[in-house]
Amino acid sequence: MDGIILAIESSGDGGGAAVLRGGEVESQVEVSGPRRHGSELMPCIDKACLDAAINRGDMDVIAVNCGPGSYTGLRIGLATAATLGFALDKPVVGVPCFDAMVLQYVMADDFDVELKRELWPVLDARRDEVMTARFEYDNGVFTRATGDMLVPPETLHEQAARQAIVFGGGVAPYAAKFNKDHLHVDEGEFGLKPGSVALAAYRQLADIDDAGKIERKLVQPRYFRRVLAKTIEERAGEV
Amino acid sequence: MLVLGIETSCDDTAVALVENGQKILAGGRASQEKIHAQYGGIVPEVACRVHYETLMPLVQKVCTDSGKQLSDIDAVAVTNQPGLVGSLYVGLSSAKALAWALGKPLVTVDHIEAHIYAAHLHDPELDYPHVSVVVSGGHTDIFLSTGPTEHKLITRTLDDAAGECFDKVAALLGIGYPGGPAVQMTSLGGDREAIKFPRGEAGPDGLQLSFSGLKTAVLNDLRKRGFVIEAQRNAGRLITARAPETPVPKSETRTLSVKLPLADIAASFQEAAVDILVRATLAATRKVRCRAVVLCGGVAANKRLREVMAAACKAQKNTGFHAAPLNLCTDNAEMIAGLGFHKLVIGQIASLDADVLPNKDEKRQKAETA
Repeated sequence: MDGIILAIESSGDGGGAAVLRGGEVESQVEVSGPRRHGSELMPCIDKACLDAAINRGDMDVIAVNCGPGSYTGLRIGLATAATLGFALDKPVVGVPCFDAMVLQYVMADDFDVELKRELWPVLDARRDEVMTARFEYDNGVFTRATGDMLVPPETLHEQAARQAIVFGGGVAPYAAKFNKDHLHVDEGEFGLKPGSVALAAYRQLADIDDAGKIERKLVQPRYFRRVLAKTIEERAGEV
Repeated sequence: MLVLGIETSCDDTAVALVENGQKILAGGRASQEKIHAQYGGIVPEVACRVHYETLMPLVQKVCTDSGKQLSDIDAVAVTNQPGLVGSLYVGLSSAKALAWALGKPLVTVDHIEAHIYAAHLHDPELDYPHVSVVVSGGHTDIFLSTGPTEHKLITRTLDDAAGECFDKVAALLGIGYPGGPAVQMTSLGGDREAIKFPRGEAGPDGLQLSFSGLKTAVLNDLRKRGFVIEAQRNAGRLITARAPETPVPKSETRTLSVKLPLADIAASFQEAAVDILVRATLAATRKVRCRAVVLCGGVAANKRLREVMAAACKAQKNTGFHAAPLNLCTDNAEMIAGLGFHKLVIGQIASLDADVLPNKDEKRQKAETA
């Protein structure tokens, strides 16, 4: 689909909005710092549209990072995207966080595609666990090989190929826990850009020739964990 | 002017279309009560998810019900304080997106001020100033109101909100959640004088409000009757009394042994709670020399409170009494759209970078009192 995509990223500390047209990121506006999505996401969207010289109703698709990531951040992004889609009568698509992270990672100048290494983007899921997914090299691109999973960082290597690259915001809190004999742990800072969400959406929609054919449904968030609260019945069962 | 109101500050998702701050064209509310009842209290995480899933269908519903198009809306008003942070964000994010997409102004509204406005929505003749009594699950505040957005705190509860006290006592008696309607229902036919629960200290100026003592008195009464009080696991959100011979219950919300005079206890408790509220309200009117009282918030739906407060106002120099209509006592979006209109008229338009103020209430507590 070669139309205009408005992308929203609010799953982590940074984020903002980007406008993509014809496969190219035309504008990208980021929030000023952590926990600023609530106030700044909408101004970012406004400015991204202004910078790309598009009007409110000009986008064909609204794309939003649907997680995993910060609960509050995702909620803000999803509520914003769903409402824009409703009010402007546009389809909304959810972009899984790890797909956008991998795309951004492999597009960096210093990344060597030819090493064909397995990729494991990681996010801190707290409680001594990371959330991650495996991406494999496949004919010039990296494709997802697993669903999102919760893994203790010290056992991640058991599922990964030798020299698999582990990167992302979940590296720093557990840097000492990954098995570095087995894995290549990239300790560099990683902040997901709204433009990467736009590009991931563009890729996700590659096979669709018309935005009108995209199914209209509420994008469901992909959280780290389900609700921790227990019902009265569940608590009673623990006696 | 047509204002769309959005309210998501706690566990009710509500949307309404109100014309010129007065005429309700359509209103929709999706209560999450049944969902949270399974947990014995509000789970913020669950509340957010339900707000997200419910909000747009509700906007669609009020448009359909009123025969209006989205493009007919002149402004979007939304609660941005106080409340549960995640819940507030769902409403504010949606309101911003809607206002931006429609190219219309955004107005942010204080939930408490909106509760007070609910009485004005019902009665356009109602004039300022008046003493406003806001009683709900989260608040028990008495203000001197001199305008739609001008409220000076006179007094407020030192501990539990009145509605919270109803919830806790209802849990204790095992009569269900939320506590307000449960206590009211159970009290029917009960003797209000059966148990003389304490009304607490009124303080030198009669303004002191406290409900934790009353809750403890109910607890002690049950103990005297030989009931075992179990602090429940999981933060003790629910405490339920249990007759000593009964086994540990599977669900804490089951009905207690029939031996307990539930109607008398509920009626006596309700009477005490009402007395505390009425006493402080009358003291407040005397303090600020105001002869009009507005009663609002979820607990204002309590029939006995309305009855006693009306009579007490009349008896005190014929003080005027106005209660928000029953359907606008609990959280609703009509009041948000109504107050939003007034803020719009005086030019209090929010910018796109507006944020939520979940604890605004605490700041207000420190503010100068009337």
